[in-house]
Amino acid sequence: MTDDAALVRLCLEGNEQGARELVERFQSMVFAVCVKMLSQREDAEDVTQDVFLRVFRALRSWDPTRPLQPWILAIAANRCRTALRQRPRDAARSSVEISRIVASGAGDSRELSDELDLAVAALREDYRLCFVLFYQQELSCAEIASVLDRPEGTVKTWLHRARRELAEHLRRRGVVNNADYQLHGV
Amino acid sequence: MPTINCTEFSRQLAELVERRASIDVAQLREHAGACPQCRELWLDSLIVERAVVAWKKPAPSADLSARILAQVAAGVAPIEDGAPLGAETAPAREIARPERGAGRRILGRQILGRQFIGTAGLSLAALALGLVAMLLIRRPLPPAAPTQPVAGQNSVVDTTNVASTSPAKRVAAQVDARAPASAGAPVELMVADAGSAYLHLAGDAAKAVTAATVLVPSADPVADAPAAPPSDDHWVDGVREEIAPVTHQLSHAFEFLIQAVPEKRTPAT
Repeated sequence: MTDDAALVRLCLEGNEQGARELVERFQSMVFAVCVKMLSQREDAEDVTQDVFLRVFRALRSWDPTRPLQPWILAIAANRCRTALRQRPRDAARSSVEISRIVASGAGDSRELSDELDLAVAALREDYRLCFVLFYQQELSCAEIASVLDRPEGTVKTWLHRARRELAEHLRRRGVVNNADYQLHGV
Repeated sequence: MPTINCTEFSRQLAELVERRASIDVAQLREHAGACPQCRELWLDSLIVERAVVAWKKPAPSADLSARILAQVAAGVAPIEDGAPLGAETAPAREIARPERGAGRRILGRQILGRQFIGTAGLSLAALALGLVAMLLIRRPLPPAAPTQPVAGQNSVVDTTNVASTSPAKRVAAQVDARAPASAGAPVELMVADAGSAYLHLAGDAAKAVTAATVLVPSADPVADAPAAPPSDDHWVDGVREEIAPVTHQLSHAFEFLIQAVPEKRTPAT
């Protein structure tokens, strides 16, 4: 029996320590995805909580032969998408506003990561999710495809477009002028 | 002269970026330097890779264990055994929503609001229609006159496609019992039949829509159209859309009744 399966079995038996361990093992991952997807800490906390409640509710339907992490990530991805869609118009506008600010060149002193945060927030939801799962959670394209229940080719296309849009944003902002011809520190 | 062509460049770049493979980038760099199109791709990758290094900083920690476990302890019913693995992961599925904080949460209100408005609105409409029909039925009928066969009754009922509905027949029978057929009877019977039939239809429609409104778990636009752009429509718009067909039917019923009632009644003799 895998470690995940043992943990889940404990949870299903009502073991409080098991439930605590499950939460502690995965909450950082879930919270990180939620923060990057929602760009608001308070919302991310709410959605993280929601994700775990759903995890516990659906725990019996988890297939013990498969890893637990992608299953939880899939729930997190769905909850983030739902939360984004339920945001009031004001929030949607603020996202547009972020995009406008990025484009206008306001805030030149921002650090590169903040700039990328803004640019990521302006990405289309699917692209954003792909990008966060690929670069932050370091999932492979195949794993992302499994989490999002989409073909791997679609994931690659979304990633490619996300990269292109982000690069375009960063270029417009002038935060990366002297890129040399090196990748991965080579 | 570059040692690789554009196709090979794209393949190797995809390997490098998407598969995080270790690739000798010298060839890529060389090709990018000579090919303007590939150079764009190369720079895009560079820019993003550089930015990601700083962006990947760990998210601010949030110890939500206590909060989550408290809510779990408050009662989280597991979903049924045998539910498919993808059940929760599939966007189409919404499990009953847990209680969340106040403020921005309007989901419960949406669902309750839809049920309440759908039920109340349709009930009121059906009641109003019923009252109109009953008033028309209970009006004193013209006295007996050289009789007009009640055959018209059936034809009217048939054309409205509710011939077999028992309420229409019952009402017609009541009218028959109360007053013999007269010159005005066909019109009265038509009105009675129409009112009763539409009342019945409205009742059925109200039940159906109410049932549908209650059974639909929640309004999650993700579920039906994952690729659709986000929609921020107010939930009242959704309710309006749901009851639109019934409203349409009811307006037809009223229109029919208004047109069916004779403007001037023959005074009783």
